[in-house]
This record gives sequence, C-alpha cells and structure tokens, in this order.
Amino acid sequence: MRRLVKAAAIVAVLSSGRASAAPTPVGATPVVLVAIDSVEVTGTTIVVAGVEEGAGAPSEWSISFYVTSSDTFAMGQLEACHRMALAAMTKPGAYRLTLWDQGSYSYAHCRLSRVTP
Amino acid sequence: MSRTWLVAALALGCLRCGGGDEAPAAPYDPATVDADGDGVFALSDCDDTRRDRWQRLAGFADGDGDGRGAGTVVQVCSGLALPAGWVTDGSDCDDVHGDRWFLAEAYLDADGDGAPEAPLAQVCRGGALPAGWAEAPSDCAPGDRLAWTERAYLYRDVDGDGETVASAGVICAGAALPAGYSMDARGDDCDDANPAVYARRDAFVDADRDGVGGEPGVVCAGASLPAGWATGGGDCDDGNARAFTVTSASRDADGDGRGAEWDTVCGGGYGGWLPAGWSFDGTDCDDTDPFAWERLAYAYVDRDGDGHALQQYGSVCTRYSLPPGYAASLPWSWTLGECDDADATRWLALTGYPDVDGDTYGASPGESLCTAGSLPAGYASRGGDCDPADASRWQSLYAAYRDADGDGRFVSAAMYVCSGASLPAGYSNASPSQPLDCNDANPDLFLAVQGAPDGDGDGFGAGPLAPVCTGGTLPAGYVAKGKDCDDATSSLWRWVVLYPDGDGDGVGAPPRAIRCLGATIPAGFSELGWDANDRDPAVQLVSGDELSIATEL
Repeated sequence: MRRLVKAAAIVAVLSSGRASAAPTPVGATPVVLVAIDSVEVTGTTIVVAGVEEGAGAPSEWSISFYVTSSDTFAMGQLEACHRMALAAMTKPGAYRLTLWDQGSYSYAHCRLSRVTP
Repeated sequence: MSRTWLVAALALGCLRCGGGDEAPAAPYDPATVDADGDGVFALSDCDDTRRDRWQRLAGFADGDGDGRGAGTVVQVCSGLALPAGWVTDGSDCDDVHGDRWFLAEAYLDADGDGAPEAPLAQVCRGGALPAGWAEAPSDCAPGDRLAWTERAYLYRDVDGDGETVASAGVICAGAALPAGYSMDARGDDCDDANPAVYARRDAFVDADRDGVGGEPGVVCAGASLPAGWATGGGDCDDGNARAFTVTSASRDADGDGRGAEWDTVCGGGYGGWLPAGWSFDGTDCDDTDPFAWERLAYAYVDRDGDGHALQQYGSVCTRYSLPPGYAASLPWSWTLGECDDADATRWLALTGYPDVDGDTYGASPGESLCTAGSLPAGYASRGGDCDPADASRWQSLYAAYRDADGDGRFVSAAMYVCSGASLPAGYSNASPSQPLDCNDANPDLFLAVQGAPDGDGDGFGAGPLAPVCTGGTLPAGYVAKGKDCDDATSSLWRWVVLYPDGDGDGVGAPPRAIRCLGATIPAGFSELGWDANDRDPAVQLVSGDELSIATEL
C-alpha cells in the first residue's frame, strides 16, 4: 500500500510540468532551485518556475526589483538575475539558482552556483 | 211854593224895569231885585244874571250828552228845566261816551287780540256794545293776545328741534299756527320731547358710557349720539367704563404689579385701565412670588454661607437686590473656590485616588472629592497605583524582557510591569546575554533549535526545519535535517531531480523526474540533465558554454 501511494505521488509530480498556483514571492529565506523550467520577466519582476531543493514538486517563485527611471543599478541587477536563471535552465542539474529578498531597504539577490565546483 | 216865589220874582223885575233910569238908585235889595228879569228876585233867584235860570233843580251832570247823567246829584241852577248838560237821570254808567249808558254783561277782548273772551263781564254800553266787547266769547286763549282762534294742525315739533312728528289736532292760535305746530311734515322726529335728538341712527349701546359701544342698535339722536350710545362698537365689557377694548397685557398672578405671560384682556387699551391681576409690565420673572419680579445677574454664589464662593454666572428672580448667597462681584468676606455649595462643611475640590494599600499611591482614575480642605483618609493625592491592593507596588515600569519561568532566559516583553521602586524579579531592561527563552512558561525549555521530527529514524525529519524549543539540544525524535521525502522509510529521505541517462555517460537529458531516494541514484539516471545527445556517450554539449550563451543575451 505504501508503495502505491508513493508511486501515485511520483506520477503526479512528473505530470505537472509547471505549477499552476500563483508564484510565491521570495522572502528573506533563500530559495534554492535545482531545476529551472521557465523564466518570465514581467515589468520589474522575474518569475521563475522550477524545483526547489528538497521539494518533491515544482513551484513558482517571484522576485521583484525596485527599479526606478533613475536607478539603473537595480535594472542591471534584474538583467543579471534573468541571465542567471537562463543559464541554470540551459544546463539542468549543473547549477543552483538561489533567490532571496531581505525586504525593505535592501536589494533582491540572485546567485548562480555550480553544483559541483 | 215854587209858584209864589216865581211871582214875587217877576214883580220885582217889573219894578226895576219901570223906573230905574229916572229914579235914583235905591239900595240893592235882593228881595226885590230881579236883575235878570226872570221874574224871580235875586234873593230867590239862584242866578240873577240869567233869565233862564232861577231855581235850583236836582240833576246829574250829563257829560256825554246822552241824556243820562252820572255822579252825585247836584242842585243845578236851572230854569224851568235843568240846563243843558244836566239831566235828572243819573244812571249813566259812562258819562264820557254818549253811546254808553247802561250796564250789561258781555265778553271783553281783554287781551286785545280781537277775540272777546270769557268770562262774562259788566260793560257800560248803549245800543251796541263798545268796541272790544261781544255778546259771545270767541277767544280760545283768554289773556293771550297772540292766540284767539282754533287752528288745526297735522304735525308737531314739541321740542323745537325743527323735526316734526305726525300728530293731528287743534290749537288755539293767532293768525297762524304757533311754533311747534304745522300742517307740513319736516322730517320724522323720533323723540319730540328732546330737542337734542330727532333722527334714528345705527349706533352701539354704550351702557358704561365709555365712548365705545357694545351691542348694536338704533337710537334716536341729533347732531350727536345721546349719552349711552356710541358710534363705534366693540366694547369688550360694556358694563365697565374703564374697559372697552381687547388689550394686550400680562397676567399678574402674584399681584406684584408685573406679569409674566402676555395675553389679552378687556381693558382700556395699552397704557389704560386694566383689571386686577393684569399688568402692562410683563417682566415678572416669577409670577408666583409677589416679592420677586426682577431678574438680577450674579457672578458669584455662596448658597451654603460658608464663605467659600463659586463663580457662577446666572440670574435670580428677586427684587431690588440679590438675595443672600448671591453677588455680582466677589465680596471681601468670600473666598473664591467652592465644590459643594449646598454643604457648608465642604468647599475645596481635591482629586483623590483610593489608596487601599496605603502606599500613598491611589488607584486611578481619581475621584473628585469635595473636602473640608484636605483629602479624607483612604485617599492619596497621587494616582496611578498599578496594584491598589499591594503596598509594595505602585508604578508601572517598562520592561523590555521577561523571565516568567525563572530559568534565567528572557523573552522580549516590551511591557509595563507593576513595580515598586524598581522592576520586580523576572523583568529586565538589559539585553540578555543568552538567546531568548523559547518557552517562558517552562524552565526546562529555553533554547530554540532548528529541527524536524524524524519518524523513521533516518536522520531526516519530515517537512522543513522549524524551531524546536529545547533544553539546549533537540529532543529525541527530532533531527537537525528536514524535508524527508518519506519519513516512514528510513532508506528514503531526499527528493532528487533525475534525468534519464540513456547513453550512460553520467549526464542525462529531459524529461526529468523527481524521485524520493536514499543515498543511491538508481541506474540509468543522473542528477545532470544537459546531455545534448543522450544516445551518444561522447556528446554532451552541442557547442559553446551555456554561461557564455547566457552572458551574451
């Protein structure tokens, strides 16, 4: 019986290519994604769908950058984060994309790291 | 005898006639002398100078020559008969008028109006009645020379006001009807007994003669209305000459000459007479008290007479001056400040806080107490006692940290603690030197450690890590690792993303799978998934490095 339940769970995970729920905003606790399924830029927000480390199913996360017309730095950060997500999606399993946002008065963070340095 | 005397007289006369011229005059001898030659000697001749008179005959003087004399009988020297002017009939009743000689009864026009009048009177008349007399009376108004005949009339004006009334009759009058009588109508005198009135006029009965009538009516009037009538009506009380018009006034119930409520009453008009209980002065502020009528303002009161006054603006209904206990300005004998103006034993308002525990801090909120100068026992002048029943605590002090279970570990409190001079034990504002207590109700639990329950004992707990309140280390059944994908199977503990590795080169290719695994990756799968040709172990990337590609974007 336990085996049957486990198998059903696995099938469910595999059949869901992408989470349908609204993306979860990234908070101060870093979110480590080990697989990237899609990257979407909407305005100043990047929505990343993928599999979080230790999770049994994919999910969607969003990270926002406080960009103003005079703040080219934040825009550069957004573009860099976008490239990191694309790189991780291009080579599955090779990188880990870590996202976190410490909230007010702090920039959003994106970090791309190799699984095996 | 008379005859003898006549002969002698004649003889004597002859003697004198025969020889007088020749013979010397003899001495006069009346007995023989007949000077007048009437045959009667002078001695007997009553008038020897006239031949036609010689004897005396009794007669009456007939002055009017009507053959009848009047007066007393007189011996008249006569001849054979009485001389002219004398008669023997002395019955003449009027010896002046020849046409009147005997007395008769007739009616005299005594008043000279041409009409004889009664009563019968004696008149000296002749064949006809003298002028002014008549056999029958015709004067209807004896004694009135202006009225003598009866005249008919149809109208009268008794009062002489020029207006007549129909009244036919006959009146003794003169040449014309007298004033007050006429054959023609002049108007219609409604009251012929009063010359002042003559025409009927619509008017109003003015019973009280105040010039204003009451009930309407018709009155006989002249140029002006008679007393008791008025041209105008509306008298609201025709029995009272002083009240005639509806007058606005105020009721004076207490009889002090001032009323309170305005109303209308039958009176003499504004400023005129008013009945008792009414006044034109409507300023009575208390119409139930005859000794209070004017409202005087006050600014201070001391009703209880304790000398402590209250500043209070108002007014009181009184008379002439403010009553005791009220003043417009603060009297020297009063002290301003009064909390109970009905109790002479209390005057000072103090805020007192109930102090049950006697720590000189009372419980808030304070009570406003009216005192005799100081707070009564059981009250403190300061409040805020956070524990009114505990004398050791009275003020709230801020405490940033709390150690309720006494394990020496604090939790953030940010609270106020009822304290004495300082915070009680278990509270502190100093930053703790140790981590905060994760359970301040249990002295055995004080340190939060990240952990997860490990159901299968594989060292991985179910679900994500979460703080676990401990006594320093995770308790049994908890581990420091979480996310066990199967916490019921000790050989499985992690979710792994796997890619089928068809060519066995260690790098798989999508589609991926997420598998709950233990330490071992199953054969034919890889955690790497970028193999461009998973059927050729020699090929993994088509060309270039993915980081270069991403960087060029």
